[in-house]
Amino acid sequence: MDSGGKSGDEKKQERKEREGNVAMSASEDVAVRLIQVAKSYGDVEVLQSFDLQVREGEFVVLLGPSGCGKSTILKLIAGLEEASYGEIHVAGELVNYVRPRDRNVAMVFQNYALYPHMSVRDNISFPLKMTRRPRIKRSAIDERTAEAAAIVNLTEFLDRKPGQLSGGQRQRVALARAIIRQPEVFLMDEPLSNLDALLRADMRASLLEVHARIQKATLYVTHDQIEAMTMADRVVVIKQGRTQQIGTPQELYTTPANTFVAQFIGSPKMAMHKTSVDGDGTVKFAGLSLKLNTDIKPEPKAAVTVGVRPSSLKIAAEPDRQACFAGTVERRDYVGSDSYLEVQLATGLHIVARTAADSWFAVGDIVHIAAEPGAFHLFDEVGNRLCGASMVMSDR
Amino acid sequence: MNEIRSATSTPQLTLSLEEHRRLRKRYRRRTTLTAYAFLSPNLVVFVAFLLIPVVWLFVSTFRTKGVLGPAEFVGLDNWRDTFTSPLVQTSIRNTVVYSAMAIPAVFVIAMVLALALNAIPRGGAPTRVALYVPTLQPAVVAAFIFTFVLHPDFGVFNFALRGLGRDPINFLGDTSLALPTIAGIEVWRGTGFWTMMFLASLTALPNELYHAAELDGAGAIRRFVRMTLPLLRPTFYFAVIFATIVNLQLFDSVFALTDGGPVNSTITVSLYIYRSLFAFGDIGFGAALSFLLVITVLLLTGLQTFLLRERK
Amino acid sequence: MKLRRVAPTNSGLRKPRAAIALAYAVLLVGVAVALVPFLYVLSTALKETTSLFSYPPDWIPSPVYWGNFESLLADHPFVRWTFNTLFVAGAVTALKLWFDSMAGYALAKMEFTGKRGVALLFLLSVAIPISALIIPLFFVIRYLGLLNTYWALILPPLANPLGIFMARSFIVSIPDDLEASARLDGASEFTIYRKIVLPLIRPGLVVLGMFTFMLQYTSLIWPLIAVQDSKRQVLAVGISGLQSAFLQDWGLLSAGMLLAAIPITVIFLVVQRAFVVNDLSGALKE
Repeated sequence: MDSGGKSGDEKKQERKEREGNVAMSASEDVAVRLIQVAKSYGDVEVLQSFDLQVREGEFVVLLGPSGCGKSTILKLIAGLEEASYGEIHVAGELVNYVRPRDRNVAMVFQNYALYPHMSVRDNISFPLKMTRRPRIKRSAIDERTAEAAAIVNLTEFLDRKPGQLSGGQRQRVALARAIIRQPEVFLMDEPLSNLDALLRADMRASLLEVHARIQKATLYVTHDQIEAMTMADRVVVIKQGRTQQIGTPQELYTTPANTFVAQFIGSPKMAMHKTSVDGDGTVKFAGLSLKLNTDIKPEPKAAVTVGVRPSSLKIAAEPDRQACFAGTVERRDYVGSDSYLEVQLATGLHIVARTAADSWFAVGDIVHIAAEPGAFHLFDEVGNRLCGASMVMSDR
Repeated sequence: MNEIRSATSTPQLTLSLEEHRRLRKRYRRRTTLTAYAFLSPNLVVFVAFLLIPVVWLFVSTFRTKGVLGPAEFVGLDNWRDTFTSPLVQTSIRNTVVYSAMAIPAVFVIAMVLALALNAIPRGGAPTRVALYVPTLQPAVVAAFIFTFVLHPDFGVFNFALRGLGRDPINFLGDTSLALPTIAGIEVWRGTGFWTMMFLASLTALPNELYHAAELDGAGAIRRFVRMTLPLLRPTFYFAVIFATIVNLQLFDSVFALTDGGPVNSTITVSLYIYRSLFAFGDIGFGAALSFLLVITVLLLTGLQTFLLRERK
Repeated sequence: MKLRRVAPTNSGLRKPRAAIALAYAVLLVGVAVALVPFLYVLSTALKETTSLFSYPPDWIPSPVYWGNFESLLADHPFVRWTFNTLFVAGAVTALKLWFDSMAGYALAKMEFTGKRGVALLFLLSVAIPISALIIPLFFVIRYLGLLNTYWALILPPLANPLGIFMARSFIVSIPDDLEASARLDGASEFTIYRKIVLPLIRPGLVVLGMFTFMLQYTSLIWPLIAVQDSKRQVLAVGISGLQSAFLQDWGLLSAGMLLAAIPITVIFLVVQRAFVVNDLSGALKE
């Protein structure tokens, strides 16, 4: 992530008081940079020493449960809230002390924040009418308004009031109002969470289309992992004001940094089983040994957690080469594309595994479970990732 | 390797904390200036027509005869006088007795009318206007109307009494009747205002709750006591404090109806202040009495705020 | 204060017939108590004062006597008083709505040093009785050379804090995101106030305006002191002057009362809808 580029601003360097300052990357392609940003309200710390870089044109999703501080990050970048500590840079410029209107960022709000007394046309053109020095000509405003409305397919609704529009249409007005300013950065605060599921999928596609078209850095806040996984170039997982992991959707899924990320991403969520390391440094799980995908040997007797992705466990009727466990079906959950079975193993452990939606397994059946690569993850006592693991058949 | 970012070095601030502090201060100063620009029209009139008069008044409490004779410093004499003067005690008693009669009465009547207005299917608009007409009248007008209606010689009331073979009653001329009569007139004038207030709150109540309660078989009275009253708490909270402030300052009606008489039976604190300042020219005393009233009102509203908040 | 526009009808529940009948009965009594005194005044205004003392009284004057109204309009500057009252109350209302919506915006939506102090100043001033302020106010107005002018009537009532708190509560109910959005869109604070806040709180301002206008219309004591010139006098003062000068002329007074009640009642009729759909009590709600 750190481009490691040399700072071009030597003077700023010299002014630094603190020891060990590392040269800031002033590389041209960084649109947003947050350095040690913290925010607290009174005694409540909502954000703790948060670092982030967003490259130009990048689509970064801030993902986390509600109240984790992700919306606060957007408000800090927009200048709607003041950071308690740290620096915010937009397009290479320190903006902590720049008014929101001069920061050149646009924001789409969860509840759209449309001006209810203005027509769609006036809503969309509002940012242009506000532009001073130089003032934008009337004709140019009209032209750009029409253009922005066309991008979001609202041309025929320009004369309506927001109250006469559906939720999806309102969302598109909000989007057009953000686009029209041609800002450096787009901030989107759960923009789809007030829409119904069908519309949400549509709007996800339109948002990505718009993003591909204008190629501007976008910070997108959501608590919905599907949105994060499908839309993001990179995802920042946040919990209680702290970064848990930054990575591509794939990285988060295949190598979750800790148990929180592991459980937050993937559906159904990763099952966690507490166990401990044997005296010889191997990890036993459900009577089998795990083969660790690493050279690191966990310390003997250490408590560890084995994470199992249900979607990486497959049910087979007969024991085959890959099958590791056998057990009895306790429960069956049909989710459409697949079914998930809760299986009680001989050791008494319950695990959930995937099977085809139309499979015939029923409660009480004896089934065999095979693990795909990446099914097992090993975490240490406090929940940080140790390594991935796969099953060793030899013990059988 | 808890977080990926910890693999790379933690980025450092580009400016020193000192510079941040300076820039932040400048930034905040600008927002503060904007805020004061918005406040400035009000601040100007408040300073000119409230703060300066109040300060002048406060200084006067330590002096004697501000207007006519040369002002002399008399220390706390005026303040002591306000505590010893029997007329001050009378006026405080009258004010309190008046408030204790008028406020509950007007609240109950207005609440009943608001509930009735909320219940009727049609005819609400003209009824609201009719009920509000008394509130729209200046106190002098109300005073005149009732001087007239209650007149011992030709008032409707006394016509009726005479018709029943009773002696006419001089409502405003009787020392024990005058204060309740003034309270009644203020209730007449204030009912429209409080009815609108309560009605607005009633119409804003969520319907779903009532439907649920009705399905649960709650009767009308039960619904009112268990749901309406608690839901109206914020309105009552405002109403009690506002009514206290207004009624403790009662002036216009007394001034127009009885001018404190007969035999000071209706003198209120506000009227006594006015009389000290104008009729007696005793500015120091009137000023001290004003502050006594201000302090009382503040203490009472503070106490009410405290009591009403506690029960949340 | 709720800004939503709800129909001021009943709560939508089906009420039993008996309850509705009772409600109508209660309202009938209420309306009678509110209006009958005016009928008595009307009856008096339309007959000669000398016939007032006849017993039993003749409630409906016959023939109708217009002399009281004629004398009121001919011998007294009644029209002028009415104009003065409407002008002063209108000016106070307009300025107050402007000032208070500005201050309300700052108090509702801005963070600044000294905010608590300013709020406290406004809050404490609620408790100061007008009767105490009259003398010092008189000196201030005299010092400014404004005695006997309209300014003397208009300026001091502007230092009334109630509207600030009401305006603040209207503005607080506007979602923060709206003005945040405008701020990002490049609007200055003043533009946000003018283009976003003002249009959205208009229903509330109608109520506040009516309230301010009414307070001003009924105000007696300060106009009595501030203006001696009959040409600048307002209705409340003019009428109380009639009362003391012509104590016995009940007919003339009645005519004055009735005419004085007409303008404010008409104005209320026009805005009364807004009055009901808006909850005034939000003024002190936190």
